[in-house]
Amino acid sequence: MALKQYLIALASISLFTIAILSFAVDFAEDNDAEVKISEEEGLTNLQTNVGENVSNFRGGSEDTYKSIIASSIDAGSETTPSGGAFALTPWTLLKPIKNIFEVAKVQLFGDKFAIFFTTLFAIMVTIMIFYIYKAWVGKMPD
Amino acid sequence: MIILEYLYTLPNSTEGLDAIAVQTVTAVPSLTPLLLVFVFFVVFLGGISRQNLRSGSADYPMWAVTASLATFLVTLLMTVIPGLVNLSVLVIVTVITIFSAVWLFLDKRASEV
Repeated sequence: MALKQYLIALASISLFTIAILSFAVDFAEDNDAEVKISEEEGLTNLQTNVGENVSNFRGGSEDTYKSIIASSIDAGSETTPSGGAFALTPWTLLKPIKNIFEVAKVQLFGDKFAIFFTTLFAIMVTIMIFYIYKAWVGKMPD
Repeated sequence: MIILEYLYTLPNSTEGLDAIAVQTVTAVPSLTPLLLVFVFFVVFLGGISRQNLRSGSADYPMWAVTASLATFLVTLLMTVIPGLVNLSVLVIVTVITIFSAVWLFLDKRASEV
């Protein structure tokens, strides 16, 4: 799995989350359900936050495009002096995962399980850093 | 003949099937969560075993998502009638569904979705 597949996976998770929550909310509205998912504050916040994160991803991808266009590679060099071109887009897409972990922590496991999800998220961030480095430099860090 | 006494009040069957379902769940509150667990594992384990028999390997995260969605839809249908399922169960099913998707999309060994 490379940076591209990683980004697509993160984006798919975000879109799936939005689709599931939107469907559940609309189902309750359409059928006048007695139990409405919109009454649960955690999931409502998750829907709003992931929507904002994905919206920010659109802006982030635009910034990444501009950054790559503006970057330059010196003659004889294999990479740009800075890895800034890769910095924006993946980070905006990792925030939905953090929000999903927050909700799962509260709804499924409780606050004492926080370190589990914190570690899991840290691993994902580390993987993202390795992918960015590999895409930028062309090799894995030594 | 030994006649066993019921441990709960029998539902009133003159009020329709919806009332029977609600009164049964009122008497036995664990019925709904266990029914949802049953639905999940029938799809999950059934799908995995059939795919294993057919192709020799199974796509676990894909079946987890399929089973979660099936459970999710059954839970949503239950929310229409008051008394069948409560909000906490719906929230847990929703979070498990989202987590199955996290597993599916980050798993690239078997599933290439």
